[in-house]
Amino acid sequence: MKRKLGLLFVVLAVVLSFSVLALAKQDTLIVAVDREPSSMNPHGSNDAGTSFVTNLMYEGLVTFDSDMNLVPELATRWEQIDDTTIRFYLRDNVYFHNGEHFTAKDVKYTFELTSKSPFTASTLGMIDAEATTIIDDYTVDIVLKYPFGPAINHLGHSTAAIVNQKAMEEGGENYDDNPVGTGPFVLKKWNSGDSIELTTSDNYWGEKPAYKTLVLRYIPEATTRAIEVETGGVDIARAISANDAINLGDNPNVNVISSNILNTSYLSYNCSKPPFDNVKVRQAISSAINADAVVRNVTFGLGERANSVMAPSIFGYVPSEEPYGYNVERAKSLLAEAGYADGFKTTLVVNAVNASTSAEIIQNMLAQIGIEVEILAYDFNNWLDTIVNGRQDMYIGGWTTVTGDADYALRNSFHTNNKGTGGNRSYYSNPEVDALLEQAAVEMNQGIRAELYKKVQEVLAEEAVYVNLQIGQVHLAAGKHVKGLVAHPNQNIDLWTVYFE
Amino acid sequence: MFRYISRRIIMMIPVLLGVVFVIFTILYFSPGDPARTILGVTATEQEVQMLSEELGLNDPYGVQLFRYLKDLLRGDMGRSYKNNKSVSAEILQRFPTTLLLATLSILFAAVIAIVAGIISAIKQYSVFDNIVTGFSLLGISIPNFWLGLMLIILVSLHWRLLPASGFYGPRYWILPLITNGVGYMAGIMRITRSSMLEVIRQDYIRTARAKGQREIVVILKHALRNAIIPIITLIGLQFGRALGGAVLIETVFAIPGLGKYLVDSISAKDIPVIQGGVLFLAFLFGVVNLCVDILYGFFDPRISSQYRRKKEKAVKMHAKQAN
Amino acid sequence: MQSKQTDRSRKNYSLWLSAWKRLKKSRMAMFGLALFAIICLGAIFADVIAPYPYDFQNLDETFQFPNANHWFGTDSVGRDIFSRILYGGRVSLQIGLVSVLISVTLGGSLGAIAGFYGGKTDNLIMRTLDILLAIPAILLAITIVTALGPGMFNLMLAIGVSSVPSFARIVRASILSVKEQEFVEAARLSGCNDAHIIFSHLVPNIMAPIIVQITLSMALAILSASSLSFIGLGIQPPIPEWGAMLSAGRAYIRNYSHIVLFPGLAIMATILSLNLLGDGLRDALDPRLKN
Repeated sequence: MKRKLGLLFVVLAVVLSFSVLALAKQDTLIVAVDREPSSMNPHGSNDAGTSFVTNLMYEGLVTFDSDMNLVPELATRWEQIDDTTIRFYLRDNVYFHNGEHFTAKDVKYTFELTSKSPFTASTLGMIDAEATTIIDDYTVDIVLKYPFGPAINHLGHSTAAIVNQKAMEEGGENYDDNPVGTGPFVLKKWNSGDSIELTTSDNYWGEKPAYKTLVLRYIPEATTRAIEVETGGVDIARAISANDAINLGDNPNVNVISSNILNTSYLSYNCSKPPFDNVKVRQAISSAINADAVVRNVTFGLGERANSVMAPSIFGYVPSEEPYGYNVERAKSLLAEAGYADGFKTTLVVNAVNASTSAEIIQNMLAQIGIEVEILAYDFNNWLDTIVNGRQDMYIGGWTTVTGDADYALRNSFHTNNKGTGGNRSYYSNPEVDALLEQAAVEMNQGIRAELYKKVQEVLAEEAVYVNLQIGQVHLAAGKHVKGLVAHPNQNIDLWTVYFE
Repeated sequence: MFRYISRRIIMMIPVLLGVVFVIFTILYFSPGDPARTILGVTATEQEVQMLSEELGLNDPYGVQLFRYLKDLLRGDMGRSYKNNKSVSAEILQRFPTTLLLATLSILFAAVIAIVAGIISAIKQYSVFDNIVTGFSLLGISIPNFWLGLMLIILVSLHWRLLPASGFYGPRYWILPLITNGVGYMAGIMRITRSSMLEVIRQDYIRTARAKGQREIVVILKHALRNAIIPIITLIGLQFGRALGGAVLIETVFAIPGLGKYLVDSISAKDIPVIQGGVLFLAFLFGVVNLCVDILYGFFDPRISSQYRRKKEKAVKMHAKQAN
Repeated sequence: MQSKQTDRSRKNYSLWLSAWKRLKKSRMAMFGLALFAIICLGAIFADVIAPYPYDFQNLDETFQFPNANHWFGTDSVGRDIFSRILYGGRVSLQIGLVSVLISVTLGGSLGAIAGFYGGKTDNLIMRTLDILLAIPAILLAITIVTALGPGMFNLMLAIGVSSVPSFARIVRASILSVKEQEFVEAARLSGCNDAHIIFSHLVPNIMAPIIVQITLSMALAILSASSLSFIGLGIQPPIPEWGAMLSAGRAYIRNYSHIVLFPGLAIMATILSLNLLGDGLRDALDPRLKN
């Protein structure tokens, strides 16, 4: 009898500890991420790894929903006072993690900081922090240095997140140990190179997450991230490979969510260098490349081919008619017209990590029209250095339009003034395009802006500046018990909406 | 003893300065702009200029090198270009992981290899001897990153026995330490075998046997004790290498050690981190070598310095070939 | 003098002959030699043996498992893996050989000079090499490749330079052990200059440890090259290199592990053969170490 009782106790204990474990599991969300942040300060870096984490801890005046529409966040509404002034009405019930009340003062302070940060000059450089005025605690006029059509979009970017003066000053050099925002999560510990532990904030004004602890584990290998989801080591894995996305899709215990992001890849040239300064050569190459086949191969059929120089969810996007789609015969005759009937030798610079396979397929396709391509697969550092300084013949590049607006996509990449260092790595120069882009940047009527960008995209397609490849894609994998997971085109995940079932 | 140690440490200083000079020079003149790499593809010229100014990258070569050395003398290894974290704090945070991985791998390799080496020495030319030799050679022939991937697929994915990544406890340690350890096994095994063979034929072993001592006692107490010095030397050398060499294993298993940190920094051209890390590893390498030399005396105070030098030379040569 | 010279070379000859005899007796070494020979032949005659060119793509036949047409299957762009392994052997062996030649030439001369002249020269050279030795070889190689940019020759150079110190040490030690012997003294008395003494008298006498080291270093160099390729710092595509094939295939390892399996086995077989051979050579050339 005694023995039986003992056994019962053991069984009870085991059951109990299991259920405790199960409960504990419910309280923690573990996410495998592919990139580490460089900073816990939203203005301390502009990379995607940082944005992913600061998005969980901080908020901006406005933000984007998962369809890239601007929605209120810390501001309840806003109005355009004149061409260079936007008035924001702020929430009055928001507190920072350190207990400080959020007011217009924090907004002004934030933009004073961003005006000095090298990481925000291109996104927030148009804000005149000095002239920005606090009307009252919950009203602020943000003043721009010049009229700028997509200004509000730029305020939705993660680098425009609002910080607290007291926390910044107290933190000083060690701010990253104790970052303070208004968002749903508070940093508990950053185990550099390994993981980041966050807890839910007691001060969060919105609906609190359904769990207490969030752990972001940094796992560099895509295959390993997928395996961790499959074996239950993590709840969610970010950025698994297309191949794993397909195969995990067959697994009944795993959900895979694939979504397009604000990035496109493309093949382009140094357009200031012969023979690529000849539009016929570019048109011939465009015609010789079966871009659909390239995209199908590298994305395992999951990806979509881009039909503009920017991604579809960006304001101003218009799909082009593809005047120089795949047609080898036309490619040959165009090349002959350009005076290269026998083809030529050239090089193709790619970032080895993400474009080697595309390059190899393209190399084969161009061989068919007599263009002999030598691939130079560089590490990121060398690749960037090469294309920034115009040492490439051809290159494969990518562009992420973080603001979701055509100005950031097109003016940086195609305006003559931005050649090389500014973002125009194709060294493309066309006065017509320059004029259209300048006009669109200062235009306040969004309808007219859209028209102007349409024209720009048509010219670029006719001039065959890019051979558009795939629209960027991110595949998330999550255990079946994970609900409420929404992928975002800006590559962040609003993890506070996640719950378990 | 104290004088010997301090002299050896002082002798390390020029080597370390040389390391700083070599690494800094290669990195400084290698292509790419750290500021631009950090800011990424979409950065504008203005942003790059601002960040370069902030990081002091616009200064000429000599100024930057001198500034680094000056800070170093004050014990300041600077801050990472990329995440602005203190390099020394970061190294100290990551070092225990690297140390643990290296220690576990070497221990794993040494225990198996020494036992196997002794047995194959006793049973020279036996089937066991051949199998062990073949197996250990196979061990150093496997690219360890490949072995790691294969083990993850097999053990973690298909058999669901052990976690695929991380380094949070014994369960997590097993795959990385096997992956890392097999490469070291062959060398230790080979040297155990050959130095045991050498010792077993000595007169005093015959004497011990003649006195009727049990074979196991003869082997462990008399033979192994006299054969241990080259084994210790090799293990020491391998340990020094293991501290800096688990780069790919750390990547495959997502282990937050020093190696992965450094490789990431090289591709980002994060000069302070690379400098600090390589300097630290070079220092460790020196310290480990020093410890090995001290251990000689500890294990066998009788060896004369003459013998030691000869032995050391032969063993180091052997070790290098084994590595 | 003359006769002594001939006498010595005859002695040398018989030394090599007896070493070969000993080598032949070691089954392990002969197995290594045979395996290595097969790999070399495969690489040399890749043009003849390989059923497809190494860069022939077929986008309709991607990820095929091993079958009659493609013995080792196909990769992500439908290239025949068997053919790529054969051609890849060329690349890997070339890298192994050239990078070792670089370290032998550089390290060997530095070591010989240091050992022969001794004193300050020795000190200067060896202390400088201590600096390189203190930097973990893989990190040094990565740093050099990053600085030079990727490409086959740069890769060879990086790997070669990072093992210069170990060669220098071995050559120096060997030179030290023979330079006091009488035939060197005799040559010096007969008025031979230093270069002549080093190359005609010292070098032949220290060939044994160098040959062993070359064999083993080649294995190491091939391994290093594949490690560098694995982190994306190696050979330019579409040239097949085993490490680069591993690296490119690792994204598909979950379902198509043959893409990663065969290059891995190729690396393993090559390194194993070189290690077996090197081991055998060490025993054969240095009877003292033979047990």
